[in-house]
Amino acid sequence: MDWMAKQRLNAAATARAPVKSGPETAAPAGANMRVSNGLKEFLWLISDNGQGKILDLGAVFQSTVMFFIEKGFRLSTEDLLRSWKEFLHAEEESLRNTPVGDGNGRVSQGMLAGKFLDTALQYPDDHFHGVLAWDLFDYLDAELLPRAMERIYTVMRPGGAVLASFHSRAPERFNRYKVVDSQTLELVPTPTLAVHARVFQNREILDIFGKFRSSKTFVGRDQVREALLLK
Amino acid sequence: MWRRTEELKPSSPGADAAEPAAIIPNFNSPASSPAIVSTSSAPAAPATAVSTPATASDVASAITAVSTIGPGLKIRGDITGNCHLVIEGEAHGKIHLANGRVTVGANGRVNADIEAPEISIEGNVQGNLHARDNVRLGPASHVQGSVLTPRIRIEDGARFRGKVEMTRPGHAADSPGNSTTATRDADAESRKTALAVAPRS
Repeated sequence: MDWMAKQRLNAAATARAPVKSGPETAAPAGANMRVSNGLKEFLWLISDNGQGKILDLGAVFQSTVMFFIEKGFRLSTEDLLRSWKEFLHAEEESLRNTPVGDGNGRVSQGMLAGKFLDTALQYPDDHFHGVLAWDLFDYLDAELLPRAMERIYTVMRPGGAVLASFHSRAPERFNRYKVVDSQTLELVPTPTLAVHARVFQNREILDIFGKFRSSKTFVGRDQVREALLLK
Repeated sequence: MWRRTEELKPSSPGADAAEPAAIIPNFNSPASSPAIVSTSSAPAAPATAVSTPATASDVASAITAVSTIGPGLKIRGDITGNCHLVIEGEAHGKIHLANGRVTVGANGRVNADIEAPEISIEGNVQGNLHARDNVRLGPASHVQGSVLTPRIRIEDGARFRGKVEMTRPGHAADSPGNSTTATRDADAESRKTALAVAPRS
């Protein structure tokens, strides 16, 4: 369903629905908790797809897995950033062990990115209804980012949504993200897996998601921007 | 633990005919629950049956034999049996335990599909995990493949790539059609949930 069409439907339904009183059942805010309006909207966008397929490109957590099971979604997980870093490490080791003058010493970042994607993000085309990518795209190398984005676009169904986060300034520490409830994330401090590559301006974010047809951004108090994009 | 059979013996021989026959649970059969377990090691008499529903973990806990593939040992081929299996070495092929627990230790490396009532991973596994009772992915585990189980526990730090599909306890769900998505409620035993995405390669 088109984003605007769904918004119109939702507005009509809201006008008809009785007003509910009482507090929302959100998890209590804490130092490591983050309210995610992007997640709330993401869930709303994909809610039409019963048993929809979600791809989480971060670390696997029990709470995230169970959250999506309980919602009736199917979840797949692939820690893309960790895989990329491990791939680079393995390639470096391989190059180090290659005899000098073997002719295989010249490797560009583009070649590495292409080789990595020969084994990463291997899913059927038009497969996923939603993709989660917290703290991923602004950590990826410049050569890998557009290629990974192209692959993500391919494996998503038309109408599918991507939720991605971008830092407005270099983060103080590296976090992974657990879904606590439909609008709350828990930040899990983790040993730095990758250095924050760059800060994207809004225009640049739209550029890297160039093929997607519509977008929406949410800025949190922590200066983290969540971008929600529709294929 | 199971109750003593003597406590439930009928008072009259004539009651034997009305009692169900003792059946060893067959977890490969979708129609195996509730199972009726004989607690006697002798040929089972109909009167000695105890109609206690047996779970895969009940059976697994009754097994005391443990086989270990130790560090430095590498095995290729199919492994089948009725005991607990601990893998600290390398295993390639296929692992199928009818009753028992497969534990892949921190140093274990498995390149095989594993099918058992309980599966616990601390090491590295490339292959599909099919548990009739539960799967646990430890904090240092690294699993690549699909997981099919009624219950899963993922410790923080676990690394997993692939699909997870959840089924009813004690049921084999060999085909994707045997599992469906559903909401989870307090009655975890009766839930039937699924989440699955198969990698292309």
